[in-house]
Amino acid sequence: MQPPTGPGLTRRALLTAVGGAGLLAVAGCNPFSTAGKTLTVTEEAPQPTAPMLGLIYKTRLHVQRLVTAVRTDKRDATVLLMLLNDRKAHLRALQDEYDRSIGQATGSTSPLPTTGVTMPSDPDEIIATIRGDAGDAQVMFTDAMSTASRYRAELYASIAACVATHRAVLA
Amino acid sequence: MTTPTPPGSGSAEVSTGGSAPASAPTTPGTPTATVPSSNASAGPVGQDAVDALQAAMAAEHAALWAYGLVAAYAPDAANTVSDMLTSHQNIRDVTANLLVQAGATPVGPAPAYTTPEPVTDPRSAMALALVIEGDCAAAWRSVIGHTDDSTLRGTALSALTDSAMRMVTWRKLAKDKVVTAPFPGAPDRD
Repeated sequence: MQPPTGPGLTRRALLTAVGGAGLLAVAGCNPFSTAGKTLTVTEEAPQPTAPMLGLIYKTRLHVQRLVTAVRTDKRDATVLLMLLNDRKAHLRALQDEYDRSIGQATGSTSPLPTTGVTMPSDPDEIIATIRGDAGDAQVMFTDAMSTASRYRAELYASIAACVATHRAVLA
Repeated sequence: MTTPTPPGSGSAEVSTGGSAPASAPTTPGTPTATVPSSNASAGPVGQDAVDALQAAMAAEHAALWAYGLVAAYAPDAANTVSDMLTSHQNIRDVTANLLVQAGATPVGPAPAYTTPEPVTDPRSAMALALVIEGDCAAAWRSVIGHTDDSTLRGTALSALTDSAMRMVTWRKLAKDKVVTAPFPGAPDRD
């Protein structure tokens, strides 16, 4: 038998048409539809936290831990109290600088609500925790120093150097 | 720290401690330098940073001189002094390189220096060591406040931290009750 010849639909044309329609369907396109309206809704992003506030919050947490550590670890209370006094001075300086930057009188920032912090009961674990805090603070203030204004860079650098000495004292 | 004596005039005076050779900015955003710069095309570092680096260089020279005096009167701390001398020599060389790269000629050491208090025994020698380190810390803190270059700030912070560590060592040797300071290098807070 002879295969059909002539202008009829060839197998290749049929496959091309079916394949093209399939691709359009997969892509979600309907060539017969009218253009729909696209409604874009943008939610307002939350206000970014000022980088300095992060440093203040972290310092406050470290102060709270040191307060608890001084109360818990009688063996190392003298050393821990010395570090606590340094960190309290850091917190005051940071809060004063933040108040100044937002145009408030220094010392007017209301203290944030404090949450209870827990510390291990073993003195060695307490020292390890406080040493870890000092390491975290050193990294944070070193990073912050590299991009801060000149005045703040000096403040952050002194704090970074101080907490480095804390790590050495606790080693 | 010791204050350098102008050439031909005998000796320079070591500072009473706590004051930065180049004044640190006392008002936010308005850093000022008081140490005149040497010849310099400051390049990317900036003239104010060069001035602060020159002050740090002068502080390191004074420290190297003063540690010789400390070593003479605190023989029990000979190893400590040796380590600290090496550290100061290293940072002096780093500072000189930074200045040369900035197109400036590093300041040289003074012929001699005068100390704030006479050094007559181990106790006064340790006190001088603390003054030396306080001055170096102040100088390096001032470098940080006179540049926006993060690499230079990193170098200065390293030197500031080293000085703070050495101050802790000296306070421990002097059997001080409080061996840390909240703001190393800050004249009004240290």
